[in-house]
Amino acid sequence: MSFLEIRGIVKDFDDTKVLQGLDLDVEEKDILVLLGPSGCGKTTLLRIIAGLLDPDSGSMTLDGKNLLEVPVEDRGIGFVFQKYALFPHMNVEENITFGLKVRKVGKDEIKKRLDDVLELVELKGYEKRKVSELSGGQQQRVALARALIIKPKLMLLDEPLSNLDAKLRTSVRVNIVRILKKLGITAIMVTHDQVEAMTMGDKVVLMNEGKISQEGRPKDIYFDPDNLFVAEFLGSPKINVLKVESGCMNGINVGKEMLSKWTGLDERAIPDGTFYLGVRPEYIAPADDGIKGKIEHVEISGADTNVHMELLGSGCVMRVSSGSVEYSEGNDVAVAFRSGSCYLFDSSGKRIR
Amino acid sequence: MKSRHAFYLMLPALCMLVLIFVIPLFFLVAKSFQAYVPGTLVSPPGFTLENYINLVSDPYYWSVYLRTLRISFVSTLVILVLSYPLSVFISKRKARTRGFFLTLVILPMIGGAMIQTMGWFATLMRYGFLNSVLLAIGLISEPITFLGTELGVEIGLVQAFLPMMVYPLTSSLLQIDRDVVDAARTLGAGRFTVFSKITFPLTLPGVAAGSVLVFMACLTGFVTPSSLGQGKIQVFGTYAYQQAMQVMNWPLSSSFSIFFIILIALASLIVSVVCRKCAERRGR
Ligand SMILES: Nc1ncnc2c1ncn2[C@@H]1O[C@H](COP(=O)(O)OP(=O)(O)OP(=O)(O)O)[C@@H](O)[C@H]1O
Ligand SMILES: [Mg+2]
Repeated sequence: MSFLEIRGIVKDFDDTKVLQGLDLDVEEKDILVLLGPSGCGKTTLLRIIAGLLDPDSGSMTLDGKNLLEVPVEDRGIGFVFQKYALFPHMNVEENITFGLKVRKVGKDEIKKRLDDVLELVELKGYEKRKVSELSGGQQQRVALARALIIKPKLMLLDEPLSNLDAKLRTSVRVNIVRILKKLGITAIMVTHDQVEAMTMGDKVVLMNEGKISQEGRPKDIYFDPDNLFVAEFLGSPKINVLKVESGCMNGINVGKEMLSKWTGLDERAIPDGTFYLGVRPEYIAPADDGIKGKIEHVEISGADTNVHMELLGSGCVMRVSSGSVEYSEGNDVAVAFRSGSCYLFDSSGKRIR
Repeated sequence: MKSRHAFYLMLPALCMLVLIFVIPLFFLVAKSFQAYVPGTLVSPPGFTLENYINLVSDPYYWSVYLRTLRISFVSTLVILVLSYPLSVFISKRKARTRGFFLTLVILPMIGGAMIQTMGWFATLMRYGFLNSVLLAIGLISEPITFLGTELGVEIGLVQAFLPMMVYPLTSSLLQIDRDVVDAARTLGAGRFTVFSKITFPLTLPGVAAGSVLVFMACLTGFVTPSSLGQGKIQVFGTYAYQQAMQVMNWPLSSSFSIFFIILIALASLIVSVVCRKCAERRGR
């Protein structure tokens, strides 16, 4: 039995179906990252776990105990909100110790735990500051400290980094992971940012339309997508998806032999009707005897260069290291897909293995 | 050039203001320092402090002040207690229903004071609606006298000025970030603690604004105390009216008015300072 077990959660808002029978397992001390497009129900799921919303049906257990019977204030689940939701009429110290004061914890104990947690989030000396006089990053750490001080069994973080600038994000990201790991806290974190998801999560869960599309280790989810949605959601630039209709791409014949070579699949596994070929940009490389294409547009994004081209009748992006070869718009180019690295998806988007 | 245009555009409004506010106020101040001669509105020339000395030394006036303050205080408190839950209810509705309820709250004010007073007569009479109901359900054995008592005046004031509290309260409740309340709940605060530690403190500016508005309205109220008080409940408004319109003692009622204007100005100054302190603490 997992530490947190969620089974068949359904939640509708009036006539919007948000969660549609969602199952999720979280192991103790893991950081699980929830990833998904806007509006897919990530916040709703967190709010249900915290007890701020009641599901229409389904069950949840935490550490073997039925969560749905426990009111919010007794669940002992820490929540970090996207916009921090600090108490505007209290200073840093009052914000952080709120959870202990309402539990009537003794003065000495409060003092001790406040010191510990201030050290952890590196906010010593800011105790008496008004929260409005803190920078975004500091407010974020107050929010984190406020949730940590109650020693939560489970920590829920809803896009905790989305209000920080790019530079701060990286350092705060590292810090949050360090703190959670040090304290051995089980956490569920929501993010839009796939780099965040890949770097912070022990496990990544991709949600789509109120269901889980795929879950697994970050590596697996990127390199072994179960369906077209997952393959398209992860990776930047996005994976190239080419439609194959009865052995042809836009009228250009591609034999099963070729597809088999690209995907590493047995020829017999390749279907006859309509399906999709997914090729990540980094698995396309120039090759003299390769497929001919025409360069439409070149983007240099630092170390890498994205070459947009027309290939086999559709638009395709190739990612190469900058500087090695000069690419210019309008030129012809010949490329090859790396053997065994492409994916096939059937017409419903499910991966063909 | 631009500001000159603006000045000309403001001129009509400015004239109106001077005409209906500044000039009368000037006369009011001047009159309050003149002596009163019974039977005439014309005062002898000269300057006197007599009116003001009377105001502070005559025990009868003190009873009027105290009664006015008492009635205003009680009414404000009752209004606060009644409008808080009402405002919480309204602030939790969806935008459209909220508009409906807010309109409902303000509707009596639009109807005018006279209609409301008539309604209260019918309700509060010796054998009026309220007494009949209370007698019928056996809560009382003798009808209660509402008309001509402080209680009756307070009931009327509460009804008349309730919207002045509901509006600022609802607006300050709506400003509270839902996540802030939810954060408190996840940290272990039950509903009561959330209210006392989060919701209520965050609505203090609204409470203060509403209380000041209502308190001042009660202090200066005239229609309700004169009608429901039936001449037996003498408060500032009714007394000033009586002195000016019936006794024709304009100097006295002028000084009386000045006294209250100063009182109200002081009260609003104190409250605005308190509000600013509150806001500073919240870091706005
Ligand atoms: N209180 C509510 N009433 C009605 N609909 C709601 C409510 N809260 C959320 N929804 C709807 O439920 C859906 C899921 O919302 P949710 O906030 O969980 O999405 P999300 O995955 O967190 O999105 P984002 O990444 O933009 O934060 C959305 O379509 C939203 O409009
Ligand atoms: Mg969200």
